Amino acid sequence: MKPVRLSGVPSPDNADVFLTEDCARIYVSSDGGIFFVQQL
Amino acid sequence: MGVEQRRHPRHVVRLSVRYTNAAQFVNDYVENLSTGGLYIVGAHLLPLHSETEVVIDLPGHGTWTVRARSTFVIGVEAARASGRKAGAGMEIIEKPPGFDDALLGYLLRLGCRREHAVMIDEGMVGRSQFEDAGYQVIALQSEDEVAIALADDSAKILAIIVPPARLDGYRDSLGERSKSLVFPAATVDEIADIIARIDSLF
Repeated sequence: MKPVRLSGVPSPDNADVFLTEDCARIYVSSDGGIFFVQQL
Repeated sequence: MGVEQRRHPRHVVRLSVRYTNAAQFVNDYVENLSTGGLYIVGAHLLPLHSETEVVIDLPGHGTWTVRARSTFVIGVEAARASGRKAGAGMEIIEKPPGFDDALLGYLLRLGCRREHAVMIDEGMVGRSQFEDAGYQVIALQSEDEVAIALADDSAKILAIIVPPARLDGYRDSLGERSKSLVFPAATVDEIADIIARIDSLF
């Protein structure tokens, strides 16, 4: 299941924010330079 | 390449993927893996629509063999023009039970690493290993400054890597706590052992 892209969620360095089916939130920058995974 | 090989191009029948860089895996998870795809850098010579086994190594979460079919290829020229690396996009058509759980487990482990820090000097062996593993990496501070940094719980420092020659100084300064936090390390193998040890704390 492809993670759903969230909008309007504050993120460092304007990273894209995704939510997986299992409610993990993924922050990933366009160049792959940063990421952050948060289990909700 | 010999004449025989040119006449009958040798198809790659078994590819392997190892994620040694946390950010690389997270990107691939978001773009491909979560929907049953893979992008394999360097596999651009694979003929379109061919099937092959792909061995995927998730450090700490097992080695998995899936069957995949190439669905698009980005050659060297196209890669150069688009700023990507040449390779092949694959669709996973068979996967073993537990594979999806392993992918998510690895993703979450990388998330846990990201929330914690390792203190190590810039010039020391192993710094890049911690960065690639996804840990926050901060510069090694003096014995006294380390004690102050540890008093700040929000720093979430899991390990302090010191040159073997300076081990006693840090252990004396930090006392009993140093036994679970301060590690001497001089080789890549020692760093790998430390990563496995602090991973087990999650």
